[in-house]
Amino acid sequence: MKITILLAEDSVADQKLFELALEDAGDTQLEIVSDGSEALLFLKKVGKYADAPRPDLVVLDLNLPKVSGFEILAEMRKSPTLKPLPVVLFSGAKPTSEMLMACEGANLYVVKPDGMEKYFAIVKSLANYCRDILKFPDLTDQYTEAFEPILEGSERCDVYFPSKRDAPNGSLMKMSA
Amino acid sequence: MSETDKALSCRHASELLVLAKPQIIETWQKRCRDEVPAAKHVPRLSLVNSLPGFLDQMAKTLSTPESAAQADANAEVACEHGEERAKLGNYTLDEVIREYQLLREVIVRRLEEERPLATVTQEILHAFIDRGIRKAAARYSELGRKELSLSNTQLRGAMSNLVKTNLELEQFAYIASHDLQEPLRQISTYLELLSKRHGEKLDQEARGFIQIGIDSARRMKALVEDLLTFSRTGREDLNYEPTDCSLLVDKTIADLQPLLQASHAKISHDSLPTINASGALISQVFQNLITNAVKFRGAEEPTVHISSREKETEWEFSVKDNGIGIGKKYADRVFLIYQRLHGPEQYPGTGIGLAICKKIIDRYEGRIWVESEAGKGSSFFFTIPKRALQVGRHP
Repeated sequence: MKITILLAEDSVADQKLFELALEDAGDTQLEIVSDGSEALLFLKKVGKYADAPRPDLVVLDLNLPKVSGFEILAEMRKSPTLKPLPVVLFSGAKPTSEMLMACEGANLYVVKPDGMEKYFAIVKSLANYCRDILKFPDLTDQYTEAFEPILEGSERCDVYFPSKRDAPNGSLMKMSA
Repeated sequence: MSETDKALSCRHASELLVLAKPQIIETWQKRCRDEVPAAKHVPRLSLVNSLPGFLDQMAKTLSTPESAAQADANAEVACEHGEERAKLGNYTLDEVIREYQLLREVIVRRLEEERPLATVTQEILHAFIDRGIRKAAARYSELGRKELSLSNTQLRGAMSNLVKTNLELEQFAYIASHDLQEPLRQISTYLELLSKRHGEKLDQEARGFIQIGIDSARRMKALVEDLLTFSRTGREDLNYEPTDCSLLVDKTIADLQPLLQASHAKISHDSLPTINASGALISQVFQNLITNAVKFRGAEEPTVHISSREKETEWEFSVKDNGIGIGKKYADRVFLIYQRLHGPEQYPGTGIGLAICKKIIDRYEGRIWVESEAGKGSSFFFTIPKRALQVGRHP
Protein backbone atom coordinates (compact mmCIF):
# COMPACT_ATOMS: atom_id res chain seq x y z
CA MET A 1 0.00 0.00 0.00
CA LYS A 2 1.40 3.35 -1.02
CA ILE A 3 1.50 5.91 1.72
CA THR A 4 2.37 9.59 1.80
CA ILE A 5 4.41 10.95 4.70
CA LEU A 6 4.96 14.60 5.52
CA LEU A 7 8.22 15.19 7.36
CA ALA A 8 8.76 18.55 9.07
CA GLU A 9 12.48 18.61 9.81
CA ASP A 10 14.93 21.48 9.67
CA SER A 11 18.13 19.46 9.75
CA VAL A 12 19.26 18.48 6.25
CA ALA A 13 21.20 15.58 7.73
CA ASP A 14 18.05 14.15 9.29
CA GLN A 15 15.97 14.82 6.16
CA LYS A 16 18.41 12.77 4.11
CA LEU A 17 18.56 9.99 6.71
CA PHE A 18 14.78 9.73 6.79
CA GLU A 19 14.68 9.60 3.02
CA LEU A 20 17.36 6.88 2.87
CA ALA A 21 15.60 4.88 5.57
CA LEU A 22 12.32 4.96 3.65
CA GLU A 23 13.99 3.40 0.62
CA ASP A 24 13.34 -0.09 1.96
CA ALA A 25 10.03 0.70 3.65
CA GLY A 26 7.81 -0.22 0.77
CA ASP A 27 5.91 2.13 -1.50
CA THR A 28 6.12 5.57 0.08
CA GLN A 29 6.02 9.15 -1.03
CA LEU A 30 7.97 11.56 1.17
CA GLU A 31 7.20 15.25 1.35
CA ILE A 32 9.62 17.42 3.30
CA VAL A 33 9.23 20.90 4.78
CA SER A 34 11.99 22.65 6.74
CA ASP A 35 10.10 24.80 9.18
CA GLY A 36 6.90 24.88 11.18
CA SER A 37 5.04 27.52 9.25
CA GLU A 38 5.72 25.71 5.96
CA ALA A 39 4.31 22.57 7.55
CA LEU A 40 1.06 24.36 8.38
CA LEU A 41 0.84 25.88 4.89
CA PHE A 42 1.38 22.41 3.41
CA LEU A 43 -1.28 20.82 5.60
CA LYS A 44 -3.76 23.61 4.92
CA LYS A 45 -2.90 23.63 1.20
CA VAL A 46 -2.16 27.32 1.16
CA GLY A 47 -0.35 29.20 -1.66
CA LYS A 48 2.28 27.08 -3.39
CA TYR A 49 0.94 24.06 -1.52
CA ALA A 50 -2.54 24.33 -3.09
CA ASP A 51 -2.01 21.00 -4.83
CA ALA A 52 -0.18 19.30 -1.99
CA PRO A 53 -1.28 15.74 -1.28
CA ARG A 54 -3.02 14.92 1.99
CA PRO A 55 -0.44 12.93 3.96
CA ASP A 56 -1.28 9.62 5.64
CA LEU A 57 1.22 10.33 8.40
CA VAL A 58 2.74 13.56 9.73
CA VAL A 59 6.19 13.31 11.30
CA LEU A 60 7.21 16.41 13.28
CA ASP A 61 10.55 17.38 14.69
CA LEU A 62 9.95 19.32 17.89
CA ASN A 63 12.55 22.05 17.51
CA LEU A 64 11.44 23.63 14.28
CA PRO A 65 12.11 27.21 13.18
CA LYS A 66 9.18 29.66 13.41
CA VAL A 67 6.50 27.24 14.61
CA SER A 68 7.46 24.35 16.89
CA GLY A 69 6.26 20.79 16.53
CA PHE A 70 4.08 21.27 19.63
CA GLU A 71 2.40 24.27 18.04
CA ILE A 72 1.79 22.47 14.76
CA LEU A 73 0.22 19.64 16.72
CA ALA A 74 -2.04 22.02 18.65
CA GLU A 75 -3.06 23.78 15.43
CA MET A 76 -3.86 20.45 13.75
CA ARG A 77 -5.98 19.32 16.69
CA LYS A 78 -8.08 22.47 16.41
CA SER A 79 -8.82 21.90 12.74
CA PRO A 80 -11.64 19.43 11.96
CA THR A 81 -10.02 18.39 8.68
CA LEU A 82 -6.52 17.90 10.11
CA LYS A 83 -7.58 16.38 13.43
CA PRO A 84 -7.85 12.78 12.18
CA LEU A 85 -4.33 12.76 10.70
CA PRO A 86 -1.91 10.55 12.64
CA VAL A 87 0.99 12.52 14.06
CA VAL A 88 4.37 11.24 15.19
CA LEU A 89 6.66 13.52 17.18
CA PHE A 90 10.24 12.64 16.26
CA SER A 91 12.71 14.27 18.57
CA GLY A 92 16.31 13.97 19.71
CA ALA A 93 15.31 14.44 23.35
CA LYS A 94 13.91 11.81 25.68
CA PRO A 95 10.52 13.10 26.82
CA THR A 96 9.80 14.08 30.38
CA SER A 97 6.35 13.27 31.73
CA GLU A 98 5.46 16.96 31.32
CA MET A 99 6.46 16.78 27.68
CA LEU A 100 4.33 13.70 27.12
CA MET A 101 1.42 15.52 28.69
CA ALA A 102 1.99 18.47 26.39
CA CYS A 103 1.88 16.33 23.28
CA GLU A 104 -1.16 14.32 24.19
CA GLY A 105 -2.79 14.89 20.80
CA ALA A 106 0.00 12.99 19.05
CA ASN A 107 -0.15 9.27 18.27
CA LEU A 108 3.46 8.61 19.08
CA TYR A 109 6.51 10.22 20.55
CA VAL A 110 9.65 8.62 19.14
CA VAL A 111 13.18 9.43 20.24
CA LYS A 112 15.58 9.75 17.33
CA PRO A 113 17.89 6.83 17.96
CA ASP A 114 21.65 6.66 17.92
CA GLY A 115 23.14 4.57 15.22
CA MET A 116 22.15 3.91 11.68
CA GLU A 117 20.54 0.49 12.14
CA LYS A 118 18.14 1.73 14.76
CA TYR A 119 17.33 4.86 12.82
CA PHE A 120 16.49 2.86 9.71
CA ALA A 121 14.51 0.30 11.69
CA ILE A 122 12.43 2.93 13.40
CA VAL A 123 11.57 4.83 10.23
CA LYS A 124 10.53 1.56 8.63
CA SER A 125 8.37 0.75 11.65
CA LEU A 126 6.69 4.16 11.40
CA ALA A 127 5.79 3.53 7.78
CA ASN A 128 4.39 0.12 8.68
CA TYR A 129 2.51 1.54 11.67
CA CYS A 130 0.96 4.03 9.25
CA ARG A 131 -0.17 1.15 7.03
CA ASP A 132 -1.52 -0.78 10.05
CA ILE A 133 -3.70 2.03 11.30
CA LEU A 134 -4.97 2.86 7.83
CA LYS A 135 -6.28 -0.69 7.77
CA PHE A 136 -7.31 -0.87 11.44
CA PRO A 137 -8.05 2.64 12.73
CA ASP A 138 -8.83 1.25 16.21
CA LEU A 139 -5.19 0.37 16.74
CA THR A 140 -3.80 3.90 16.72
CA ASP A 141 -2.70 3.69 20.34
CA GLN A 142 -1.37 0.15 20.32
CA TYR A 143 1.99 -1.39 19.66
CA THR A 144 1.09 -2.99 16.37
CA GLU A 145 3.27 -5.62 14.76
CA ALA A 146 5.01 -2.78 12.96
CA PHE A 147 6.95 -2.12 16.15
CA GLU A 148 8.11 -5.65 16.66
CA PRO A 149 11.58 -5.08 15.19
CA ILE A 150 12.25 -2.02 17.33
CA LEU A 151 10.79 -3.12 20.65
CA GLU A 152 12.85 -6.22 21.07
CA GLY A 153 16.48 -7.05 21.41
CA SER A 154 19.32 -4.73 20.66
CA GLU A 155 17.31 -2.59 18.27
CA ARG A 156 14.97 -1.56 21.06
CA CYS A 157 13.95 2.07 20.64
CA ASP A 158 12.17 4.65 22.72
CA VAL A 159 8.58 4.83 21.53
CA TYR A 160 5.89 6.42 23.66
CA PHE A 161 2.14 6.73 23.33
CA PRO A 162 1.47 10.18 24.76
CA SER A 163 -2.21 9.34 25.25
CA LYS A 164 -1.19 6.60 27.67
CA ARG A 165 1.95 8.33 28.90
CA ASP A 166 3.38 4.96 28.32
CA ALA A 167 6.97 3.89 28.35
CA PRO A 168 8.02 1.55 25.55
CA ASN A 169 7.40 -1.61 27.50
CA GLY A 170 3.76 -2.09 26.57
CA SER A 171 3.00 -5.50 25.23
CA LEU A 172 2.91 -6.01 21.54
CA MET A 173 -0.52 -6.02 19.96
CA LYS A 174 -0.66 -9.03 17.67
CA MET A 175 -3.06 -8.47 14.84
CA SER A 176 -5.06 -11.45 13.93
CA ALA A 177 -6.08 -10.08 10.57
CA MET B 1 59.41 64.50 96.70
CA SER B 2 58.86 68.25 96.61
CA GLU B 3 56.63 70.17 94.20
CA THR B 4 59.70 71.72 92.55
CA ASP B 5 61.24 68.33 91.88
CA LYS B 6 58.03 67.16 90.31
CA ALA B 7 57.72 70.21 88.11
CA LEU B 8 61.28 70.01 87.03
CA SER B 9 61.06 66.43 86.32
CA CYS B 10 58.07 66.95 84.09
CA ARG B 11 59.56 70.00 82.47
CA HIS B 12 62.85 68.16 82.02
CA ALA B 13 61.10 65.28 80.39
CA SER B 14 59.24 67.69 78.16
CA GLU B 15 62.43 69.40 77.00
CA LEU B 16 64.18 66.12 76.48
CA LEU B 17 61.27 64.84 74.43
CA VAL B 18 61.55 67.78 72.05
CA LEU B 19 65.28 67.37 71.73
CA ALA B 20 65.22 63.59 71.27
CA LYS B 21 62.23 63.62 68.92
CA PRO B 22 64.13 62.61 65.74
CA GLN B 23 65.95 59.85 67.59
CA ILE B 24 62.76 58.55 69.20
CA ILE B 25 60.96 58.49 65.85
CA GLU B 26 63.87 56.69 64.24
CA THR B 27 64.07 54.02 66.94
CA TRP B 28 60.30 53.59 67.03
CA GLN B 29 60.14 53.24 63.26
CA LYS B 30 62.75 50.53 63.29
CA ARG B 31 61.04 48.58 66.03
CA CYS B 32 57.67 48.86 64.31
CA ARG B 33 59.07 47.41 61.14
CA ASP B 34 60.56 44.54 63.11
CA GLU B 35 57.67 43.84 65.46
CA VAL B 36 54.44 44.93 63.75
CA PRO B 37 53.78 42.82 60.66
CA ALA B 38 51.51 45.40 59.01
CA ALA B 39 54.20 48.09 59.35
CA LYS B 40 56.83 46.11 57.54
CA HIS B 41 56.34 47.56 54.08
CA VAL B 42 54.62 50.85 54.89
CA PRO B 43 56.54 53.83 53.44
CA ARG B 44 58.34 55.98 56.02
CA LEU B 45 56.06 58.98 55.56
CA SER B 46 52.88 56.95 56.14
CA LEU B 47 54.40 55.08 59.03
CA VAL B 48 55.49 58.18 60.89
CA ASN B 49 52.66 60.47 59.75
CA SER B 50 51.22 62.31 62.81
CA LEU B 51 53.79 61.00 65.28
CA PRO B 52 55.90 64.21 65.42
CA GLY B 53 52.72 66.14 66.23
CA PHE B 54 51.80 63.60 68.89
CA LEU B 55 55.22 63.93 70.51
CA ASP B 56 54.92 67.76 70.44
CA GLN B 57 51.57 67.53 72.19
CA MET B 58 53.01 65.10 74.72
CA ALA B 59 55.82 67.58 75.46
CA LYS B 60 53.26 70.36 75.84
CA THR B 61 51.18 68.28 78.23
CA LEU B 62 54.24 67.45 80.34
CA SER B 63 55.20 71.10 80.57
CA THR B 64 51.73 72.16 81.75
CA PRO B 65 50.47 69.07 83.57
CA GLU B 66 47.55 70.65 85.45
CA SER B 67 44.47 70.12 83.33
CA ALA B 68 43.27 66.66 82.32
CA ALA B 69 40.84 68.26 79.86
CA GLN B 70 43.75 70.03 78.20
CA ALA B 71 45.72 66.77 78.07
CA ASP B 72 42.78 65.12 76.41
CA ALA B 73 42.56 67.85 73.79
CA ASN B 74 46.31 67.60 73.22
CA ALA B 75 46.06 63.88 72.58
CA GLU B 76 43.46 64.53 69.88
CA VAL B 77 46.17 64.28 67.23
CA ALA B 78 46.23 60.52 67.79
CA CYS B 79 42.90 60.31 65.99
CA GLU B 80 44.76 61.18 62.83
CA HIS B 81 47.03 58.25 63.42
CA GLY B 82 44.11 55.87 63.86
CA GLU B 83 42.55 57.22 60.71
CA GLU B 84 45.74 56.75 58.71
CA ARG B 85 46.05 53.19 59.91
CA ALA B 86 42.45 52.39 59.01
CA LYS B 87 43.05 53.78 55.52
CA LEU B 88 46.18 51.70 55.06
CA GLY B 89 43.83 48.76 55.21
CA ASN B 90 46.28 46.08 56.32
CA TYR B 91 46.36 47.01 60.01
CA THR B 92 44.50 45.15 62.70
CA LEU B 93 43.40 46.98 65.82
CA ASP B 94 45.99 45.04 67.79
CA GLU B 95 48.69 46.32 65.50
CA VAL B 96 47.53 49.93 65.87
CA ILE B 97 47.73 49.56 69.67
CA ARG B 98 51.01 47.71 69.46
CA GLU B 99 52.59 50.71 67.70
CA TYR B 100 51.64 52.93 70.67
CA GLN B 101 52.98 50.42 73.13
CA LEU B 102 56.27 50.43 71.25
CA LEU B 103 56.25 54.22 71.34
CA ARG B 104 55.74 54.08 75.10
CA GLU B 105 58.74 51.77 75.49
CA VAL B 106 60.98 53.84 73.22
CA ILE B 107 60.12 57.11 74.99
CA VAL B 108 60.50 55.73 78.50
CA ARG B 109 63.77 54.05 77.66
CA ARG B 110 65.15 57.22 76.04
CA LEU B 111 64.08 59.45 78.96
CA GLU B 112 65.44 57.05 81.57
CA GLU B 113 68.84 57.22 79.92
CA GLU B 114 69.04 60.67 81.56
CA ARG B 115 67.65 59.76 84.95
CA PRO B 116 64.79 57.79 86.48
CA LEU B 117 61.40 59.35 85.85
CA ALA B 118 59.51 60.96 88.69
CA THR B 119 56.32 59.13 89.51
CA VAL B 120 54.19 62.00 88.36
CA THR B 121 56.08 62.24 85.08
CA GLN B 122 55.48 58.54 84.55
CA GLU B 123 51.79 58.99 85.35
CA ILE B 124 51.33 61.91 82.97
CA LEU B 125 53.33 60.20 80.26
CA HIS B 126 51.45 56.93 80.50
CA ALA B 127 48.10 58.66 80.79
CA PHE B 128 48.85 60.65 77.66
CA ILE B 129 49.86 57.59 75.66
CA ASP B 130 46.76 55.77 76.94
CA ARG B 131 44.62 58.67 75.70
CA GLY B 132 46.43 58.46 72.39
CA ILE B 133 45.73 54.72 72.14
CA ARG B 134 42.06 55.20 72.97
CA LYS B 135 41.62 57.93 70.40
CA ALA B 136 43.53 56.15 67.66
CA ALA B 137 41.74 52.90 68.34
CA ALA B 138 38.33 54.55 68.45
CA ARG B 139 38.93 56.33 65.16
CA TYR B 140 40.37 53.21 63.60
CA SER B 141 37.37 51.10 64.62
CA GLU B 142 34.87 53.70 63.53
CA LEU B 143 36.38 53.89 60.06
CA GLY B 144 36.90 50.16 60.00
CA ARG B 145 33.19 49.58 60.64
CA LYS B 146 32.26 51.87 57.78
CA GLU B 147 34.68 50.07 55.50
CA LEU B 148 33.31 46.78 56.71
CA SER B 149 29.71 47.68 56.02
CA LEU B 150 30.77 49.01 52.64
CA SER B 151 32.57 45.79 51.87
CA ASN B 152 29.53 43.83 53.09
CA THR B 153 27.40 45.64 50.53
CA GLN B 154 29.98 44.92 47.88
CA LEU B 155 30.09 41.33 49.02
CA ARG B 156 26.34 40.98 48.71
CA GLY B 157 26.53 42.47 45.23
CA ALA B 158 29.27 40.08 44.25
CA MET B 159 27.31 37.16 45.73
CA SER B 160 24.21 37.96 43.75
CA ASN B 161 26.32 38.28 40.60
CA LEU B 162 27.88 34.95 41.41
CA VAL B 163 24.52 33.28 41.86
CA LYS B 164 23.39 34.72 38.55
CA THR B 165 26.53 33.63 36.74
CA ASN B 166 26.18 30.21 38.27
CA LEU B 167 22.60 29.89 37.06
CA GLU B 168 23.61 31.03 33.59
CA LEU B 169 26.45 28.58 33.60
CA GLU B 170 24.21 25.69 34.58
CA GLN B 171 21.69 26.70 31.96
CA PHE B 172 24.50 26.96 29.45
CA ALA B 173 25.81 23.50 30.30
CA TYR B 174 22.32 22.06 29.98
CA ILE B 175 21.51 23.73 26.69
CA ALA B 176 24.95 23.13 25.23
CA SER B 177 24.96 19.46 26.08
CA HIS B 178 21.38 19.06 24.91
CA ASP B 179 21.95 20.76 21.58
CA LEU B 180 25.30 19.08 21.06
CA GLN B 181 23.67 15.68 21.07
CA GLU B 182 21.79 16.24 17.84
CA PRO B 183 24.70 16.89 15.43
CA LEU B 184 26.71 14.27 17.25
CA ARG B 185 24.08 11.64 16.61
CA GLN B 186 24.10 12.68 12.95
CA ILE B 187 27.88 12.50 12.67
CA SER B 188 28.04 8.98 14.04
CA THR B 189 25.06 7.83 12.01
CA TYR B 190 26.55 9.13 8.77
CA LEU B 191 29.95 7.64 9.54
CA GLU B 192 28.22 4.33 10.09
CA LEU B 193 26.32 4.76 6.86
CA LEU B 194 29.55 5.53 5.03
CA SER B 195 31.22 2.48 6.48
CA LYS B 196 28.28 0.09 5.85
CA ARG B 197 27.42 1.26 2.36
CA HIS B 198 30.79 2.21 0.96
CA GLY B 199 33.26 0.48 3.23
CA GLU B 200 34.07 -2.19 0.65
CA LYS B 201 35.15 0.43 -1.87
CA LEU B 202 37.60 1.91 0.61
CA ASP B 203 41.04 0.60 1.52
CA GLN B 204 41.92 -0.49 5.01
CA GLU B 205 43.42 2.85 5.99
CA ALA B 206 40.26 4.74 5.00
CA ARG B 207 38.12 2.28 6.94
CA GLY B 208 40.42 2.81 9.92
CA PHE B 209 39.86 6.55 9.70
CA ILE B 210 36.10 6.06 9.72
CA GLN B 211 36.37 3.81 12.76
CA ILE B 212 38.39 6.45 14.61
CA GLY B 213 35.67 8.97 13.73
CA ILE B 214 32.98 6.63 15.05
CA ASP B 215 34.89 5.96 18.28
CA SER B 216 35.53 9.67 18.84
CA ALA B 217 31.88 10.51 18.28
CA ARG B 218 30.94 7.76 20.74
CA ARG B 219 33.32 9.17 23.31
CA MET B 220 32.01 12.68 22.83
CA LYS B 221 28.49 11.38 23.22
CA ALA B 222 29.43 9.91 26.59
CA LEU B 223 31.00 13.24 27.62
CA VAL B 224 27.97 15.21 26.54
CA GLU B 225 25.59 12.85 28.31
CA ASP B 226 27.63 13.11 31.48
CA LEU B 227 27.68 16.89 31.23
CA LEU B 228 23.92 16.75 30.97
CA THR B 229 23.70 14.50 34.03
CA PHE B 230 26.08 16.77 35.90
CA SER B 231 24.13 19.92 35.12
CA ARG B 232 20.87 18.15 35.97
CA THR B 233 22.31 17.19 39.35
CA GLY B 234 22.86 20.88 40.03
CA ARG B 235 19.37 21.88 38.93
CA GLU B 236 17.20 19.22 40.47
CA ASP B 237 15.17 20.24 43.48
CA LEU B 238 16.76 19.13 46.72
CA ASN B 239 14.45 16.74 48.47
CA TYR B 240 14.50 16.06 52.17
CA GLU B 241 12.99 12.73 53.03
CA PRO B 242 13.87 10.22 55.72
CA THR B 243 16.23 7.83 53.99
CA ASP B 244 17.33 4.61 55.65
CA CYS B 245 20.87 4.27 54.36
CA SER B 246 21.10 0.55 55.20
CA LEU B 247 18.15 -0.16 52.93
CA LEU B 248 19.42 2.32 50.38
CA VAL B 249 22.86 0.70 50.18
CA ASP B 250 21.28 -2.79 49.94
CA LYS B 251 19.19 -1.60 47.04
CA THR B 252 22.14 0.09 45.38
CA ILE B 253 24.16 -3.11 45.70
CA ALA B 254 21.27 -5.08 44.18
CA ASP B 255 21.14 -2.64 41.26
CA LEU B 256 24.87 -3.10 40.68
CA GLN B 257 24.72 -6.92 40.78
CA PRO B 258 25.82 -7.51 37.15
CA LEU B 259 28.95 -5.38 37.67
CA LEU B 260 29.69 -6.82 41.11
CA GLN B 261 29.31 -10.41 39.98
CA ALA B 262 31.45 -9.86 36.89
CA SER B 263 34.29 -8.56 39.04
CA HIS B 264 33.71 -10.96 41.99
CA ALA B 265 33.42 -7.93 44.26
CA LYS B 266 32.44 -8.31 47.90
CA ILE B 267 30.48 -5.41 49.31
CA SER B 268 29.59 -5.17 53.00
CA HIS B 269 28.20 -2.49 55.23
CA ASP B 270 27.58 -1.74 58.88
CA SER B 271 24.21 -0.71 60.16
CA LEU B 272 23.75 2.75 58.64
CA PRO B 273 21.65 5.63 59.94
CA THR B 274 18.49 7.20 58.59
CA ILE B 275 19.26 10.63 57.20
CA ASN B 276 17.05 13.34 55.81
CA ALA B 277 18.00 13.66 52.14
CA SER B 278 16.86 12.52 48.74
CA GLY B 279 17.18 8.73 48.48
CA ALA B 280 17.73 8.99 44.74
CA LEU B 281 20.63 11.44 45.06
CA ILE B 282 22.33 9.71 47.99
CA SER B 283 21.92 6.38 46.20
CA GLN B 284 23.72 7.97 43.26
CA VAL B 285 26.59 8.89 45.58
CA PHE B 286 26.88 5.33 46.95
CA GLN B 287 26.52 3.89 43.47
CA ASN B 288 29.32 6.05 42.04
CA LEU B 289 31.62 5.37 44.99
CA ILE B 290 31.02 1.60 44.88
CA THR B 291 31.39 1.50 41.10
CA ASN B 292 34.67 3.40 41.34
CA ALA B 293 35.95 1.15 44.10
CA VAL B 294 35.29 -1.90 41.93
CA LYS B 295 36.51 -0.31 38.71
CA PHE B 296 39.84 0.83 40.14
CA ARG B 297 40.59 -2.56 41.62
CA GLY B 298 43.99 -3.95 42.33
CA ALA B 299 45.19 -7.47 41.73
CA GLU B 300 43.04 -8.92 44.54
CA GLU B 301 39.29 -9.39 44.26
CA PRO B 302 37.69 -6.08 45.14
CA THR B 303 36.24 -5.72 48.61
CA VAL B 304 34.31 -2.64 49.65
CA HIS B 305 33.08 -1.78 53.11
CA ILE B 306 30.65 0.99 53.94
CA SER B 307 30.34 2.34 57.44
CA SER B 308 29.21 5.43 59.25
CA ARG B 309 30.13 7.44 62.31
CA GLU B 310 27.87 9.70 64.29
CA LYS B 311 29.32 13.10 65.01
CA GLU B 312 27.91 16.02 66.89
CA THR B 313 26.35 17.84 63.95
CA GLU B 314 26.68 15.39 61.10
CA TRP B 315 26.87 11.81 59.93
CA GLU B 316 30.14 10.73 58.42
CA PHE B 317 30.02 7.89 55.90
CA SER B 318 33.00 6.03 54.55
CA VAL B 319 33.41 3.74 51.57
CA LYS B 320 36.66 1.82 51.93
CA ASP B 321 38.19 -0.34 49.23
CA ASN B 322 41.31 -2.39 48.54
CA GLY B 323 41.85 -0.96 45.07
CA ILE B 324 44.77 0.80 43.41
CA GLY B 325 44.43 3.91 45.57
CA ILE B 326 45.06 7.52 44.69
CA GLY B 327 48.32 9.42 45.12
CA LYS B 328 48.03 12.17 47.72
CA LYS B 329 48.60 14.99 45.25
CA TYR B 330 45.56 13.88 43.24
CA ALA B 331 43.25 13.65 46.23
CA ASP B 332 41.45 16.91 45.43
CA ARG B 333 41.66 16.69 41.69
CA VAL B 334 39.60 13.53 41.44
CA PHE B 335 36.46 15.45 42.39
CA LEU B 336 36.74 17.84 39.42
CA ILE B 337 34.60 17.26 36.36
CA TYR B 338 36.29 15.25 33.59
CA GLN B 339 39.48 14.82 35.62
CA ARG B 340 40.92 11.42 35.03
CA LEU B 341 44.07 9.91 36.40
CA HIS B 342 44.22 7.10 33.88
CA GLY B 343 43.78 6.81 30.14
CA PRO B 344 40.38 5.63 28.86
CA GLU B 345 42.00 2.45 27.53
CA GLN B 346 43.16 1.53 31.03
CA TYR B 347 39.96 2.37 32.90
CA PRO B 348 36.88 3.36 30.89
CA GLY B 349 34.72 6.32 31.83
CA THR B 350 34.63 10.05 31.42
CA GLY B 351 35.67 11.12 34.90
CA ILE B 352 32.32 12.46 35.99
CA GLY B 353 31.28 10.09 38.79
CA LEU B 354 33.09 11.78 41.66
CA ALA B 355 32.23 15.26 40.35
CA ILE B 356 28.57 14.26 40.57
CA CYS B 357 29.10 12.90 44.11
CA LYS B 358 30.71 16.18 45.12
CA LYS B 359 27.93 18.23 43.60
CA ILE B 360 25.29 16.23 45.48
CA ILE B 361 27.14 16.38 48.80
CA ASP B 362 27.90 20.09 48.30
CA ARG B 363 24.23 20.76 47.76
CA TYR B 364 23.43 19.06 51.07
CA GLU B 365 26.14 21.19 52.65
CA GLY B 366 28.26 18.21 53.51
CA ARG B 367 31.90 17.50 52.68
CA ILE B 368 33.49 14.81 50.59
CA TRP B 369 37.13 13.76 50.54
CA VAL B 370 39.40 10.83 50.01
CA GLU B 371 42.13 9.35 52.14
CA SER B 372 44.36 7.07 50.19
CA GLU B 373 47.80 6.02 49.21
CA ALA B 374 48.71 4.72 45.81
CA GLY B 375 48.62 0.93 45.93
CA LYS B 376 46.97 0.74 49.34
CA GLY B 377 43.31 1.24 48.62
CA SER B 378 41.15 4.28 49.16
CA SER B 379 38.65 5.44 51.73
CA PHE B 380 36.12 7.94 50.48
CA PHE B 381 34.38 9.93 53.17
CA PHE B 382 31.37 12.17 53.00
CA THR B 383 29.27 13.94 55.58
CA ILE B 384 25.62 14.88 55.68
CA PRO B 385 24.70 17.51 58.27
CA LYS B 386 22.27 16.28 60.88
CA ARG B 387 20.41 19.54 61.00
CA ALA B 388 18.85 18.47 57.74
CA LEU B 389 16.97 15.92 59.86
CA GLN B 390 15.28 18.67 61.82
CA VAL B 391 14.29 20.54 58.69
CA GLY B 392 11.68 17.92 58.07
CA ARG B 393 9.96 17.20 54.87
CA HIS B 394 10.09 20.03 52.39
CA PRO B 395 7.05 20.80 50.26
